[in-house]
Amino acid sequence: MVFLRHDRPLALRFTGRLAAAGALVTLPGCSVSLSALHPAGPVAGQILTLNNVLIFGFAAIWLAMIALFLIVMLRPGALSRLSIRAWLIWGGLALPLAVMVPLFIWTVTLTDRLWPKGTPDHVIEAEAFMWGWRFSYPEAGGAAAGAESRDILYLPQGREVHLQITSLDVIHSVWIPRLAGKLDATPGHTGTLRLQADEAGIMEGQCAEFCGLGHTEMRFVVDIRPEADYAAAIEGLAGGTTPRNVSELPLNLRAAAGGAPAAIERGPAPRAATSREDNSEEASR
Amino acid sequence: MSIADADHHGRTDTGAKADYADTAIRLSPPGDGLSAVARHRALHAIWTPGRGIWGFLTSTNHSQLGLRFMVTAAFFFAIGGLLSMLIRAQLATPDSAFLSAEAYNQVFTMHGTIMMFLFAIPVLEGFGLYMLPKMLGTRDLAFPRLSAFGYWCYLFGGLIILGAMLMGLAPNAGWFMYTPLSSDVYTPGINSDIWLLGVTFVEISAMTMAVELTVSILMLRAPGMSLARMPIMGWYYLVTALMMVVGFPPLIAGSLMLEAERAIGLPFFDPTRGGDPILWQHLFWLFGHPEVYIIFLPAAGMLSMLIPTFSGRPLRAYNWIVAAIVLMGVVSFLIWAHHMFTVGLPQWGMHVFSIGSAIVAIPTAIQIFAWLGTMAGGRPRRSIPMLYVFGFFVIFVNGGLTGVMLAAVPFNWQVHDSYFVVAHLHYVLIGGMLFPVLAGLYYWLPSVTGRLSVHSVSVPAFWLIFAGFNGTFLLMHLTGLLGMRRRVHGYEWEDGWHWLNLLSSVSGFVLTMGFALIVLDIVLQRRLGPRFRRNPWAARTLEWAVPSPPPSYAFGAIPAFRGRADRIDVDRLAGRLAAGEGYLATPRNGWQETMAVDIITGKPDHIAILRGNSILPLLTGASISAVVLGVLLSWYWISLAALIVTAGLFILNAMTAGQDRDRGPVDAGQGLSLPVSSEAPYPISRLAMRFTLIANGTLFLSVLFGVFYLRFAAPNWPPLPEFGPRGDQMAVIGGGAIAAVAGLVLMGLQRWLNAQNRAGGDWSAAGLAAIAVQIAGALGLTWMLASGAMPDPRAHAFGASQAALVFYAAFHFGVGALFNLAAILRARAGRISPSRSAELELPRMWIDYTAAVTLISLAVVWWL
Repeated sequence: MVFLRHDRPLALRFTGRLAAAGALVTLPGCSVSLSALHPAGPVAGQILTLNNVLIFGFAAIWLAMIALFLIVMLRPGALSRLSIRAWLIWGGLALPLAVMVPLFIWTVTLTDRLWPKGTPDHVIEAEAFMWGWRFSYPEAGGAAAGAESRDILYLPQGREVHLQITSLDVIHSVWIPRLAGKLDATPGHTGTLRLQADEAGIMEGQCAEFCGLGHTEMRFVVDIRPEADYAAAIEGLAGGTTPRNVSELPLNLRAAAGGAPAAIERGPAPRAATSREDNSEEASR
Repeated sequence: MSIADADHHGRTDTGAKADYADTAIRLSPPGDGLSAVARHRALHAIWTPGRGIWGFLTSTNHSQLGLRFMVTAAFFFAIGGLLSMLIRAQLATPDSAFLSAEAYNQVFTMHGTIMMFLFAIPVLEGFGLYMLPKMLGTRDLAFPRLSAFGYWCYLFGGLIILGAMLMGLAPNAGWFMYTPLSSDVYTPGINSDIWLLGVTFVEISAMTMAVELTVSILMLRAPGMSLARMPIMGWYYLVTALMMVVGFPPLIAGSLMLEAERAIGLPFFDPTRGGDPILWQHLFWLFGHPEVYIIFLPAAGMLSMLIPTFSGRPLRAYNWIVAAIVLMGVVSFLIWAHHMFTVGLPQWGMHVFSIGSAIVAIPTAIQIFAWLGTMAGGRPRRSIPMLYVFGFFVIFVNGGLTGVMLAAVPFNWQVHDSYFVVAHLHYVLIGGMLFPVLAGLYYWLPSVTGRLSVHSVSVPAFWLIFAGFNGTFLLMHLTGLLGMRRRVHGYEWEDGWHWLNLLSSVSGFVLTMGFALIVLDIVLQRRLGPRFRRNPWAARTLEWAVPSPPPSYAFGAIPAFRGRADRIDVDRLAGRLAAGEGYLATPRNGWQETMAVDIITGKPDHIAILRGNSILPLLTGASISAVVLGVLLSWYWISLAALIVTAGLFILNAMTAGQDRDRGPVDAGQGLSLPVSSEAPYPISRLAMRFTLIANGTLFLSVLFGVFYLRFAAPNWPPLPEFGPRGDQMAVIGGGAIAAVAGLVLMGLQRWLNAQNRAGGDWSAAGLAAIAVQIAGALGLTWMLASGAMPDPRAHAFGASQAALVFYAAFHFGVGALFNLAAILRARAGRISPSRSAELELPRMWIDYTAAVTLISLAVVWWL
């Protein structure tokens, strides 16, 4: 499904308001760059709509069930006339089906709509390792030409990007909550994650599958640039004009990137070996 | 109306009088001249565990062992709880330096491992062991020595894991141990091996309990107690036990495969050598998802037992609940991959697992509304157990709803591996298991101690737990949505999660205070609680007819039923049973006797003579510990020796089983004459072997699943030629042929042997021949493996798969030989005769299974 470039979809406008409400739950001044409640792209936005329906709807059911229990416990006469069959059929069958059938029709079709399909505008490759990220940009020549960045992901604004994800050692996972759900980086496999950002800006991503000592600090920065600047940015990686890793970030970008830069720099050094064969040798030494 | 409702005579549910018709049949006095006191003394002398240390170590008594399981589990719960406090202390503030990353990884791994494997399952096993005989009208479970063995395996396995933690060597790759992180390359230390071997050891104990529970519920009930007349707890535990029989083998298979990868280098999960890390996830969650329903169902059973009591009327919708339990059990095996929605499965697969996971909410809802309907139709009384039922409703319903949310794939993509899931799992586990267990604790503890609670402590304890729990975990849903991942040892100030984490941590301490108060409450109850005579809750189920505290033999006489066993006049029945008005009221020959019945109808079938106190369970548990420790420390010769000792102990135990002569039918009381178990055509041991083979078969199917999964889905297949068969295949073809022929020959030989025995002929030569053929089969397969002509098992999963299948078949020939050896020795000792011949079916069943898996394995090896 293609989103019109100049018109934000209804769902996103609605969730924009809800996201603003969501901002109330965090204290002002604290970063929301990892928040799934503050979507910055259509995929995360549609998921947030689902999220809100689920949370508010199910919270209502939860409270109703508690009330039902209290009525039955404290005022048993009120419902004693109902036959047991009525309880079972209305409560045990009708209620779950009435809720879940429409819900899962929605979620199944939403899953299909969000699935990476067809030809994206851009393809980026992500390699996860213990403990960091290597992103390479085939449009600028890829890793061979030096068009790669460590722990920073450059994305174009408003374009559909497919991130091809793999791991060099153990299972990691790419999670940029403001843009999309997560996808595991499994050694021996390559997965595709669909990303699309509405606005330029800085946010964070993180490894979402436990991977050992450096898991906590295995975060990365996401730098979204307008389309025209993006091409120049990834061309500049080889030459060093674009920051290639977190230590090269200018101060203003670093500040906008929340907790990721400090965490990355504090984390353990990546294991010297970045392939399984090397890792076996290292382990047996 | 169901059969069980027949005694209602069509009256409506408000006909309270009809509900309270006593379904226990009035039976005649035994006429043996024993007074109640004398009967008690005689039975006690037979059933009691001995005194002192020796009595403690040799006890097989279900009440004692059940309590031991539960107390040990409570001890592990305390340790798991302490670990959770360490986690919350670490996460209370950002950038905390309380625990290092390595320490933290061990702490959270151990928290999950201890809670899931060393607390949740064992406490429910213990409860089943303690209470089911009393609910079903039998004097013990089917294999008391096996119960004791199960306990010692649990204790020793738990101590090995705990000991590792105290030495700083605890597993540290998460409680579900994803590979490749948990493989030898990335976790070279002994930590992961501790998990794999320790948990497998404890799971052996769970498997033995599962088989025993299944056989006991099916065959050891009071006469007249058909399956439809069982108290509902029987159904809950039956389905749970069957789920364990089929659900644990995938974990055991996966653990053995991972341990083989770590110790010997068989690359089942290494993607560079034809393995696949995702296979581990499939095998683990094939176990892991049923596991959480295994944990939930017995707890739900407790609610189904105590809600009717406090509502003043029997459980309504019994049939619906049974259907819901069975549906839940079956569906739980079909939805495991909802733990893997972010792995990259094909889209259609995700939809199937997503919808299936939603469907399982229906049987859950049915049970919940059945409880509400039962309460609504009665007059619910307030009590401490009902306070915990309230807690269950609030907490578990929340967890169930977030579970349906998690079944929605796009939502799952965002919150998987975040604190939302941590919140969800604690809501379902603590709400769905712990709260019902605490309700059950307050409900049944008086029957154990003979005293009632001191309420001034119980109520504040509940509210501290309730408030502490919700404070810790309710807003944790939000923490996850704001982006905090699982298993991180810290976070940054900029992330904005610190207030939420601080709230969770402080509330965690409140929760701990609540648990501490419960401990105090139990102590106070034992010392100061008011005593009562019988049945403080006016319950209508059989376990309340047993004195409080219960005697070692549970029932002075076995009762009989004409209706559902949850409408009993407990006081009257208790007096009658103590006076011996029932079956098997007269102790004789020092036998531990209980009634074995037809599985469906509950008609008396034979007298099961159970095997009592012995030191062998402890010794066998200890020798298996030696096997495990030997592998852990790489002292493989010790392991091998201990394995031989273990086999010897099993055979030794078999030597004194059964009877040394034909007895013929004996008096079972009430004018009934029945055969004893050694002469019964279908004794409990046969059913046990059937379920053992089902478990074994599930293990084999799991391995086959793995082999086919790797063949079709793993990277780096097909293997390069140098990873294929090597050199002259003579050994492979020859060895395989020998094994196949051996299997088929044995099937015929064993049947001939059994027929000879039944006819009174001499079968000693045939018995020795059978052993020889089994050894030949084992040797043939070993020849295949040792010849070096099979593909190198370490180079590629192709070779590893073939080696695993061949080894599995060879192992079964070996064990079969031990079965036949035991049979020959027993025959020499006079314990087998033409009328005591049913047990020879056990080696036959094993041989049939061995032949089947040998042929299938060889076919798969050839096809691969």
